[in-house]
Amino acid sequence: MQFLQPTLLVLAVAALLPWVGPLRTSDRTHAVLRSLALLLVVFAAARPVSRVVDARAHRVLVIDRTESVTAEADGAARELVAAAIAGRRPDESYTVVELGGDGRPALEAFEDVERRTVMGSGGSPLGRALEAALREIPEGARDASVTVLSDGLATDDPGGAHWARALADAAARGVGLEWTALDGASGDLCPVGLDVVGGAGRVGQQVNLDVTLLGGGQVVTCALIGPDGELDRAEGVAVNGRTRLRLGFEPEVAGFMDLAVEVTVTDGADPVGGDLRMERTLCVQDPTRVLYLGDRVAGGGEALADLVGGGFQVDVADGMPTAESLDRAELVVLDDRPATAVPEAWQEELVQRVSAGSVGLLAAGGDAAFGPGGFHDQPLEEILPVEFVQKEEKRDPSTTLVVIIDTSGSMGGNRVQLAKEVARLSIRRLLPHDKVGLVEFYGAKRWAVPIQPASNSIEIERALNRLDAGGGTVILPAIEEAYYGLKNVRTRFKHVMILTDGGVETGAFEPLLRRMAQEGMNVSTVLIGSDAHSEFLVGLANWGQGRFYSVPNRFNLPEILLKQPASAKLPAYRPGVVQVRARGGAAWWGDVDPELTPPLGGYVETRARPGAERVLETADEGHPVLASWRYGLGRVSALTTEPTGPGTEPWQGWDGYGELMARALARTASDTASPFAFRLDRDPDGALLVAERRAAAVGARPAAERVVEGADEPDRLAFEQVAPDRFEVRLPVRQDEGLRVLAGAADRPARERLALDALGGGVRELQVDPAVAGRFGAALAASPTAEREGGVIALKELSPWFAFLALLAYLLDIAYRRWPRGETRRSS
Amino acid sequence: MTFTALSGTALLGGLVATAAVLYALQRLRVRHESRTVVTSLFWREATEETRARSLFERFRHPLAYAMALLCAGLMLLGVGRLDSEREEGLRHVLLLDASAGMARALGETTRFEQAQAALAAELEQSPRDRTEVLWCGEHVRTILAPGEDRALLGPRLAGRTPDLAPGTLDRALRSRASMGGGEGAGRRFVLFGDAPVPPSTLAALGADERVERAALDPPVDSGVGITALGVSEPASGRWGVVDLFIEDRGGSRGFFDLALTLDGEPFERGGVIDTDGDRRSFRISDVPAAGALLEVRLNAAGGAAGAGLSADDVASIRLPSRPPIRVDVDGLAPAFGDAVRAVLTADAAVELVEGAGEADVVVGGAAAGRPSLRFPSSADQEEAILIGHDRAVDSSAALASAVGELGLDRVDASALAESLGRPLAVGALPSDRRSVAIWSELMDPARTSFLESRAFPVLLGRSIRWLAQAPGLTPYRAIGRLEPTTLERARPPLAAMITSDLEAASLLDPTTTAPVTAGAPLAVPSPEGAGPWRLYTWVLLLALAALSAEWALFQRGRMP
Repeated sequence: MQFLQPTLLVLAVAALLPWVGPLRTSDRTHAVLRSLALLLVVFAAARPVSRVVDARAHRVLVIDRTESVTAEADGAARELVAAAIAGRRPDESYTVVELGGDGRPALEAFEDVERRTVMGSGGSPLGRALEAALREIPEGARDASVTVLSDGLATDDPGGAHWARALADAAARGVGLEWTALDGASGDLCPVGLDVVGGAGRVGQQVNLDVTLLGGGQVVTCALIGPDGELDRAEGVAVNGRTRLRLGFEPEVAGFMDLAVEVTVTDGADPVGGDLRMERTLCVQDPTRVLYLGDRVAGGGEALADLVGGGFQVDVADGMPTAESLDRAELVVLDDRPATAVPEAWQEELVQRVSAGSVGLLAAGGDAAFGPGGFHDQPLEEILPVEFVQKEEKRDPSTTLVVIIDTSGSMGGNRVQLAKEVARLSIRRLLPHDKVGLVEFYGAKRWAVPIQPASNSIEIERALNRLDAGGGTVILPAIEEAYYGLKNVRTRFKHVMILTDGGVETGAFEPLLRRMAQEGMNVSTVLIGSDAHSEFLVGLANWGQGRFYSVPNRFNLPEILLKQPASAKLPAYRPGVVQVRARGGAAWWGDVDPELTPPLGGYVETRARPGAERVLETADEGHPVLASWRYGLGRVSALTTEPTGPGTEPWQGWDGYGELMARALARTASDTASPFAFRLDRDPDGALLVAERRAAAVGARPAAERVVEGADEPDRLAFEQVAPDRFEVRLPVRQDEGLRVLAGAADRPARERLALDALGGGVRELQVDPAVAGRFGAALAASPTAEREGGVIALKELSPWFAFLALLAYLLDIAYRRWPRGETRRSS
Repeated sequence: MTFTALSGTALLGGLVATAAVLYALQRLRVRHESRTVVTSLFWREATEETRARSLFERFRHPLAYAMALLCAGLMLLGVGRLDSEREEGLRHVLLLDASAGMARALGETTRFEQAQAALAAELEQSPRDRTEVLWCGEHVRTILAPGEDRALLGPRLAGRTPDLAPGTLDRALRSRASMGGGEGAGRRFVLFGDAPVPPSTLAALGADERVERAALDPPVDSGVGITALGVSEPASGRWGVVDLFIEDRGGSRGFFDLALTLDGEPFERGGVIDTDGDRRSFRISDVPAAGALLEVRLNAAGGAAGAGLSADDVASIRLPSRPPIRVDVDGLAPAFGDAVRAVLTADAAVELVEGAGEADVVVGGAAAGRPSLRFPSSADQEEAILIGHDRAVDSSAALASAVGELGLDRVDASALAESLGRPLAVGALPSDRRSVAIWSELMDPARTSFLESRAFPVLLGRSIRWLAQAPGLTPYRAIGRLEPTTLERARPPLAAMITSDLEAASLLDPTTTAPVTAGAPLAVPSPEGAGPWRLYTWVLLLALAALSAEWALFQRGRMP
């Protein structure tokens, strides 16, 4: 026993009143009785208590009285609660936690039953009610249980951590849990889900939203409402049970966009009504940032921006690109820009970034792109999904060879024979589909063999054998003859080989030979005879972009290279009307009908690399027009024509061109351009913003700010680094409070929008994770838990007993002094 | 006012009974006096005066009766424990911060003991019927319910120390504020601890609710301790290692060093050190991921403990276990067998073994009880790629996650379909063992270019990892925090969160070491002044006074 107010014990001195002082009495019995009464009163006032262990069973009933519970189920729940309390044992204490209940009949008041109310603010925070119920159970309770009477619909993250914490607490404390299922509003029509496909939208790009409706056979119209009015609608939707439909639109402005779905019943009845609207914040991200590098097509960047629409912010690079220009880009478009205007170091930087996934590349163009643009052996060549065909055609190009043999007098003797031998050797190297002609000059010129297929070897050999030396040396007319002869021939290579002993001649050789070179005719010269060198013949070979050979005798016959001339890199651009064929899937084409793709006006002939996806190709030869592949973590696409130039001129009137290009750009652009991936989740104590640093962004740090409307200064959030590549911010956000955040890298202006919508209020109740219900027992009346050791420490007040004893002592005192006795007293 | 020990009826009955008893005693003819008369002439008169020889006499001395009744009545009220009405007036919620930071030692005492003392003092001044005390440790618990006496606080807090958990003061405040406060009654929350209260929490309070904070002296400064310990995928890209991040605060003052152990064995840390004000951070690359327990301990060079709080001087984390995945390659068709072997040989995560018995994953054939990557003919399997997943997972969900997890999004399906001349489909079905089955025709270089594509090694490598169920990486584990999600791994299902037998975490919240001093300024408590004594104490003191007075009156003959 102890006294809670021991200081009052000093008043026990009052018990001496009958014994000392002027009020003392000689009647010892009477004095004892009075002292006892006084002492007991003092003791009672000093509050004697004894410490006991409270072994009572503690029962907490959580009754869900939110909107979704039907009136009948609510009535049944109240009856269950009343019955449970009425049937309680003496050693049971009850507490009722009421969730919501606005507009419902009041709960019956029970004697000695504590009542708590959890306000839902229009929502159904069932998890919070469970936490409150657990708090009602005293620490150390030996037998405790929480019974939840609910329809299982809640607004506070019903599958999440809120519940986990409460359930873990209950498990740790040995608190029994029971669940009594109540009926929800059966057949009630309401939207229960509005999910943005992909999580966020982007300016100028289609955003799809999945709307989930619950209903009981109604036919409805579902409208998607934005800040400026209706954005999309679906009519005649039959809602039976859980029904999902998709609505979409194209946002025009970046930012946080308030969306809502509104459901209108067109056929059928809605039992509850008033809950046909659901709201959601859509994060509309900034347009995709495109770095455009053009050259030949004037205004190409602007034209491309107009073509693909507002989903892309096309920045046209001035002059030579720099590495810094790549920092902000998610996509680089290289449009008909020759390799000479793309520094090799920058190409290497671009390759590295594409490989790391921080930027995508679309290489496009005609005459100045790919092989014709000089990208052979450049860093970019390796990452393109197409190969330049020139490399392959060098293996076996068709060739026309015109041999001009000097049969003048100076070639007499062995020289003409030597020339014939060289000619024979060269002609033998030709394949049957090649062509050959033979011109002799001896003061005049003559076609000894007109240009004809090299397969006519017998005739050609006869003509060679007939040649004999005699006459003067006049080369120029023979070359002119060869030139005009070759002009009408269509082979890949055209070659003229002059076999002479090197007599010097004046004339307009240079203009003629240069023109021939320009037209793809190469002129090589072979010096026949013992003179090792002839400046004249070397000059001819140079002008004709051919080679010079020297044949002093028959033992030094040269290897005449007819098919590997220096000018092999011929343009691969193929103008003309080219029919195309679509191959890519819906991800590339979307709503565009691939069959309606018009023919092209020209393209660069390439070949798709193994593993590359051909989205569009030429119909006849299968040359890729639009091809794409992943390179490292990034994507590279190739459009083998000019996006806004002559190659696609026939597409300018095609409705689908803009969408196809927009899709090509969007798919090629990096989706990991930001150094960080952000995630914003609800947390039991608010919200958690996580920034995961991507591998390529070593050293980058995240930055974020909370968007508060009307605030002058941004509310900057301080990230804490918790792992090498992970940063976190914990934000105190109430369940019924929304959150909007702009996040990005600290050193970049780019900002990613993230939002959390408020739970409760306009948010529909969702089914509690079945795992939660599985953790509960089933019935209200079931015996919950086994008793545990210990118990609740309580105090038993003894003061009423002391007061009672004091009263008895006082009454005895009165009785003693008034009881008639034979005592005699002398009256004064 | 109400009676807490007796019902009103019982008390009334007792009062009536007491009055009746006193009435009876009052009428007792209490004395037989011997009276001496001077002369017999007065005998008649004397007889008249003491005429009644019966037990009772007529009721006389009503004032004396009233006095006796007052004394008895007051004592009876004490029996019934007359007290003031319970539900009237301001309600008081006292929140005791029992988070890890409160264990900080401050000289002879601790922050928690300071808070306890302040709480007890506050409780003395609060009406106990409208006052409750909440323990804000790892969980929020009710320590003292309304109506319970403050005397229970001591026994209930006896031997208790702060929980090794982040502060829940704000959570408790928000949760309590969401509960109804009673008809027309305001509420006053008093905080006993250092945790800040966000303005949003204050904004959520009602107009008749206020928050105060007990002044604890001296204010707490940042201590010295480990505030972060986490792992990430290695920047080197190697398999079997992770990168490590450690941060401490206060250690930059130069008197502390970090000691690392892996399963108790010293581990030389090296790595990159970065100092930012009071923080030091260490990035250690390529720490072996062999499932060892990494412990980081803050050692004071001078032997002193970490500035008042020892709990944050040590932190540990279980590193992931990433042994090489043993793969048995068996029964592959010659057309693509070499290509598969080449990719697996080049994969640092894979160790090729002989025999399915030793393998984690079997490639090419199916082995009982082993996850397998098979290449059946299209005649035997309808889907081009068929995934056998765990039975606990829904097939559609498994398929959705497999698209990214297995790298299926990198496969150029349309080109392959065109090459094969038939559509490709991907399917999933529940299975006892994980499996991936790919048409052998897809792998035939004579029919498709799949082997040459960049998607092939990605698909193969990721499939092997998925089949082997290579564990995901948990960035960190902190006390009182949910298991963190990652880009690749969402939060585990609720059931797993509840039943998880995760290894206990030892990392404390950074605010434990460096208390956040920001937050809304709060008023210092101004208690209602209820005083220590309850109403029935006054009643009993009154009874004592009345009893004494009545004795005095009796002794002076004023009472019969």
